[in-house]
Amino acid sequence: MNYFQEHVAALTRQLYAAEDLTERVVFAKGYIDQFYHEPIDLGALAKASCLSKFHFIRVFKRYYGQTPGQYLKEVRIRHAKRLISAGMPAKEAALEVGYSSVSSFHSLYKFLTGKTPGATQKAILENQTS
Amino acid sequence: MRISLASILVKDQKKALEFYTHVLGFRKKTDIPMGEHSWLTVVSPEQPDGVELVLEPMGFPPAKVFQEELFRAGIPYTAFQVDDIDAEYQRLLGLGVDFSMEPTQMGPTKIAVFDDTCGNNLQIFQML
Repeated sequence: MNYFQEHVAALTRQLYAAEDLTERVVFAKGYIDQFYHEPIDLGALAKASCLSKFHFIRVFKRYYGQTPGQYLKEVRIRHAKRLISAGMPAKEAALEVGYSSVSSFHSLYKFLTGKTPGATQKAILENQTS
Repeated sequence: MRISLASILVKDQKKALEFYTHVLGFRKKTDIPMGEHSWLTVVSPEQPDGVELVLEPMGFPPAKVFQEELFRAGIPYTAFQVDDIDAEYQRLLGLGVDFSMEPTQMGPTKIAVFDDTCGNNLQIFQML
């Protein structure tokens, strides 16, 4: 085993000693990755992971750097960006990724991507025609 | 301020271009001859306008010592993110890539390390 492998093994033991906890958090993230387009109740997800809601949020943030709610928003907007870039109208894309309110989708989209859905589509079109 | 370039030292630019494009799957973005070397960059096809990786020639002897020691210790020079590390591992193995670390879970990530044939260990990782 070389220096790097030893280092990784030691860090894993130190940072992620509770393997069952890691499994539960990874399961929760996998659930969001798979079912982001459906209504997701984070309280229920915490319960399914056998954790209290507050502990779940804290642990998820420690593992992934953001809360499950923030991560869900990011995943939805990432997928929406892909759909909008492929030509889907913003309203349709919002519904497709699990948003029922188009106005909150618009402001979140701009906040996370720096562009409005319309500006994303315009940039793609300009790229295609240039 | 934005990060638009990152660089990696390579022993041979021609060989590196071959490995980083044909094996890893990146695309050549810029190739400008500069004396005996080139200003040579590659990008990910998933982010053609994203960060460019400069395949930098070994022009400074002390850097060679640094690169060799890093390689000997098994430390990756840099890391690339993948969606499915097990599939990528199998794909690269099939292309003859030499791994010093098989896909290994480290908490919520899975990492693997391989030889880029140009003097470096590279890491790929997946967020689980």
